[in-house]
Amino acid sequence: MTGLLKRLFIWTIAAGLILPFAVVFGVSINAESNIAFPPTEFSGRWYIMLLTESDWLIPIGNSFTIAFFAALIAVSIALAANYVLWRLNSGFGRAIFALGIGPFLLPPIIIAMGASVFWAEAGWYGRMEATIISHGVFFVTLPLVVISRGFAALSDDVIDASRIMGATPRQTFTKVILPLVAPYVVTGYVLVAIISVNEYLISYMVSGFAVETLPIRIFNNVRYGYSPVVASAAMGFAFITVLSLLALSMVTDLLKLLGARRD
Amino acid sequence: MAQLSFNSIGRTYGEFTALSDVNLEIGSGEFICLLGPSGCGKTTLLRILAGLETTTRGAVHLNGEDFSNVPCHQRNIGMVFQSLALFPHLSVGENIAYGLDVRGVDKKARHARAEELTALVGLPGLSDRPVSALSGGQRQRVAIARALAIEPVLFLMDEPFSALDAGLREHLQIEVKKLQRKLGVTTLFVTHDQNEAMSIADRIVILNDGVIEQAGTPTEVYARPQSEFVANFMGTNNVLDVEFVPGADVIWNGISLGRPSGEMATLSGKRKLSVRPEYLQLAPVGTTGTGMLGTVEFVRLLGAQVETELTVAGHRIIDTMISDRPPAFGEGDRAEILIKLDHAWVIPS
Amino acid sequence: MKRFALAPHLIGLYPLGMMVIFFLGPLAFMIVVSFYLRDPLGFYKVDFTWENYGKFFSSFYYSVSLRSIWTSALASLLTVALAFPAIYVITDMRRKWQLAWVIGLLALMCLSEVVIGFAWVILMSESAGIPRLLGWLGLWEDPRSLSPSRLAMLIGMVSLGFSLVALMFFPQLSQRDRSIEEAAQTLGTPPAQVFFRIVLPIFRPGLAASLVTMFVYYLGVYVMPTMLGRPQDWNMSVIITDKAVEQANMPLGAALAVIMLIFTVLLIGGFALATRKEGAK
Repeated sequence: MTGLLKRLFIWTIAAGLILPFAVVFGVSINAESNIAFPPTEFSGRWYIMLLTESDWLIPIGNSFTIAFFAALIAVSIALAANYVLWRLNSGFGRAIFALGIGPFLLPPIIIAMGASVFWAEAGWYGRMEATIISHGVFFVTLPLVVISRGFAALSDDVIDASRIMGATPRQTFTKVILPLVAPYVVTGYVLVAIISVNEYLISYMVSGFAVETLPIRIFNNVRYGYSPVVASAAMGFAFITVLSLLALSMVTDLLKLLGARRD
Repeated sequence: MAQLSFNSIGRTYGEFTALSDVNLEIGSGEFICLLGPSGCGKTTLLRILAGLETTTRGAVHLNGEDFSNVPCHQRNIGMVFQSLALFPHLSVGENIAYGLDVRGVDKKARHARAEELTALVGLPGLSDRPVSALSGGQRQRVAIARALAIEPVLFLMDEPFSALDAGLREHLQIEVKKLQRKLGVTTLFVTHDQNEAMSIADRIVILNDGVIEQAGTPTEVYARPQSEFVANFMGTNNVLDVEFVPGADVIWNGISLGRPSGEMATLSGKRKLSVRPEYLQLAPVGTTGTGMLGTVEFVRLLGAQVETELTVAGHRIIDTMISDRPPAFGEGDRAEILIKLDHAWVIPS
Repeated sequence: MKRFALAPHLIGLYPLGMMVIFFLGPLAFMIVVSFYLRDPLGFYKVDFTWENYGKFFSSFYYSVSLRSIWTSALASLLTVALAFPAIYVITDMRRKWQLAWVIGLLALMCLSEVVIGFAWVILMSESAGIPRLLGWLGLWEDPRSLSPSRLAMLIGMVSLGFSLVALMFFPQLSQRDRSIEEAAQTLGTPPAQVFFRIVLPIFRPGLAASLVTMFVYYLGVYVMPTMLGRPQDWNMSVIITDKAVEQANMPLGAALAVIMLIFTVLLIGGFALATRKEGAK
């Protein structure tokens, strides 16, 4: 009896989460040029439009460029912070770690506002580099936490063994620590890249009027009128996100990384 | 209180068979140990009894009634889990009284019963403490008290002491046994430690790979193992492949072990002989006239005993003796080995 | 007696520097700008005035604040009430199914507010969504779009935060000692009651923390209210952006943001203190 209720509940939740996307998918493959579901005639033209028209290609390019570099920044900060905390375990390390957690606790509007004011003063308001740096710094929390799990998994014995065998701290880092922490670093990178590609508010407020990212374009479209291409853009997002995560799951034990128990 | 029977119990998980054709009868008030190596099925059997697992085949009967359809929460079973599973958000007293709370017993009666049980298990006055404030041994007692509070028809324990130090473990083993004798509740105790089983069980049920190898008193399974597995699993043993020839000596690897008497004299053909180390004797070379000659590989001084490991014709033979005198043989020495055949046991095939 | 290791401290200067300059810096700037005056021709005129803060104490901003708090609290409660039981069920599934769910939840978590909002706009629209389905089934005579509306906004918000809460509880629920629930059963708890009698009380602290976390999170959503809500449903974040960008009054926007920052810090700080007191008891 409870088993049945549980299954019903979980399937309802699944439906609620997937249904919107099922509909968007249907809209994106509809041949008609107004938003309608179910599709009367199937056509892939909206996807073709998405991938050929510069109106869309430029925002796509912008989003990916920003994501690529922002993720590098975020992960480098997260790795350095984790290493310092792990190595020193002092107030210094903890302070840095706390700073890394900070951005996650604050509502994005506060951060976005602060960033736009900051860059206005610094003179980089409207430049892609500004968004890259802001994304890199504000999305530090997720890789910080993921990589901290990686360091937590490092047993002292392995490090001690390396030292006893005569390795310098640098060698221990490159030969022992880095390979063991690598899956977590890669996961952190992929997650930040995905989040950056999907982010709206900060990129809008820092450089939105000059650098159009994909979410900005979609948002403007929804506000001011759109065709089904937007649906194909939305689905494109969903596909890429899911595919990246699937790829990640094949390379790493995703469940373990997120904290599942070992059996 | 309970007469329990397992009838043709089978349990498979896809390709893997956890239990196959398990038959067992347990009398009211018995203290049974389910013993075996990891993966033998002992915990599965216990969980089937508790109602936490179902059977693929067969049924469990309690007092003649089919237990299998009774849901877990209606079976009135008290169980102590390996991790103890104490409720972290409740105090000691609330933990113990939980089963009564669920049954609708009023607060005053619950409190009284909890006090009764804390005294019974040796934890007087700790009712209001949070469980996190207790030591390992104290938490054990709370788990036991909680299971007994509901006056269960069966008392189940799943390797409860495996995480404790040897001293504390032995202490608790004795306490549980005394408690069980006092209350008379039918008890099933799962363990992989044969010393534990030997200490406290009325009967030991030895499982291996999902089947029962033997069920008997500690003396029975030790002195009269019914299979080679049991012979080797219980204590240290020497299991020899011998050949019986009627009217002649028993032969092992071309060596004579002596002339059998009594029932053993009637046997013929190849058999497995179980010879406990305490029934071997070592003597200097050339003193006994026996053909069994070995080289000492290792000597273990175990305090009360001395265990000597020898190699004879490529086989390992173990001898133990009480250390009332220093060992006569050291590593590398040669010694003659005498076997007391009347204390040997032929393993049924 | 530990030796002072130079290298890690030097390495530590990189993350420290980055976070101080590009995270604390912007916050500091924002506080400073909140005291400036609006400049219709540029961003702002450097000045010092409490005027912007004064504007907060008008009835308009009060009602927006109250509305923000009410909506965030409601959304937070709904999200946790749905996501916690869901992840409880998921962590008992076979590994294969857990992975599928986790990938789906991660994807949802990473997916843009804009995309999720858009999906719900479509699902609620009269030409492609539920209204159309109900109309086609004959259950709704003249189907209209379900958004923008407060309900649509709430649904969008909950779907946004669902995956966050679910993934937050994943480690704890996955690693929990299931024999505690089994023990409860052997002691007489019917399976249906185990969740309410045992699991919920044990997770009370975690649930409280997630309610507070999601409350702060929902205070900050911008896209959902804009896409799925009417102007009278908009929360503080939307108003701030509106003032700062659309109405070119950055100092006012900054002041409102600072007030929100103070509120958030007080809330989180208060909660952290309360949990520390509980833990010490």
